[in-house]
Amino acid sequence: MKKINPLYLLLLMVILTLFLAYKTNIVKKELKTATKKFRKTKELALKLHSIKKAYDYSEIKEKRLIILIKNNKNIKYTKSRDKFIIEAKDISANVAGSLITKILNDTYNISYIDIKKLDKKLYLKMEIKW
Amino acid sequence: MFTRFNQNLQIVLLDKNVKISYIEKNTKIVLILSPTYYWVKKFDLPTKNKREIRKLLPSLFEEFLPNGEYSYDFYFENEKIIAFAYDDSYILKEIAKHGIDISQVKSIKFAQTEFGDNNLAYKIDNKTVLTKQDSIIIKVPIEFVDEVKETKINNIKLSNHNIALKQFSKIIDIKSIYILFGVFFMFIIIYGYSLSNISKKIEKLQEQKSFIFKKYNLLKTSFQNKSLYKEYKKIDKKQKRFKEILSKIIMIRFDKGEFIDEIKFQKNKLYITFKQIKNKNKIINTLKSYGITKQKYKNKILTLEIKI
Repeated sequence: MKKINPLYLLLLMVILTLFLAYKTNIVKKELKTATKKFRKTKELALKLHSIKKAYDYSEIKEKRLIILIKNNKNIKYTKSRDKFIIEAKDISANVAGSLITKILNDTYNISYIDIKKLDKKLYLKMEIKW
Repeated sequence: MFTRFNQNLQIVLLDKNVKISYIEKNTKIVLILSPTYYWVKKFDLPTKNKREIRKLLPSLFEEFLPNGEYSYDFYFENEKIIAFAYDDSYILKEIAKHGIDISQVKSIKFAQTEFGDNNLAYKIDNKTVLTKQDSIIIKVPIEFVDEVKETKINNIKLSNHNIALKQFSKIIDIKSIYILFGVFFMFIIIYGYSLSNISKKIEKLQEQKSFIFKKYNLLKTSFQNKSLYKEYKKIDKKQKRFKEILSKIIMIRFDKGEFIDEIKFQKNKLYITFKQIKNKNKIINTLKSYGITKQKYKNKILTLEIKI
């Protein structure tokens, strides 16, 4: 009986079909998981990107701070790689209020602030961490 | 009628008049069909194309065969065609009737292809012999021949000509098998295509993921990125809370003479000092929802500590 019976071939095709159906099902599940993971990664990437952009150092953000300070000679600033320190030993409440409001309306990581009332003016020290 | 060919192979002549004795299960059988199980005809056809001949065979046998389903086979002999017609299911039934297990059958052959002048007339039993007439092997009564050769069946030199019986033809006919082949082939194509398509999509997703990691300068693993995001989220939450409390403090309506002396934010703690405060509860009530961790009131000086 050297010739292969067609039913054996048919059986082989049935097995192959079942195997492919099973494999397709597994791969479909993999695709579902991969899509879900991809969406999560994309979502996380966008959120992380925007939050980092908000709090990390950027030249524009630093320039914005300098412009705010430049108009007033009483306000000094020092900057380092990871910090930006603003200090005013004798400024009016109006100037301090305007400066603080503008900084607070932006997104900075303020790690230290000290506002102290002097006789008629105010003492201000603010530390922004990059 | 059979004889031991070697330890694992036996040649058996299958004939209605022959009773076959027990064959061991590990023995393979070469089955030679007696002419009672097939029709044989000699034809002279203008074509030598095997495919064409195979197509012609049913019509060539049509007038000789009783109604039923037959398989056909042929071979060339001196420019002529020796053609066979046989009923698969009938032969299978006969094999079973003789007590032969079909799984033991190694090959099935026609007596026509296995017997030659050197071993004819071959004695089947006491009454019948195989002989040749006009190059066709036939079964005749023993009286019809002059001489019977004492040929042992194991001495027969076997040809390469075999037939394959359609064992399952009664369960499913060939047409249905081809239809099923088609259906399953279609399924295989569909699943194969779908499998490759899905795999490509997964690959594309991986590429897009790598692109996102590169574009947004992400850390190597999702776990690291999640931790980093958590850290930033913590900073964001803290800043928002700090700003909210600060705006609440600024919004407090002080009585005459009351004022804020100092606001200090250091190491996640906010310290506020109010002076000339007559009614400390007004301030405390405004800020208590933010969780005052420490408070001190002495000489109209109110000091509050809030954890950010």
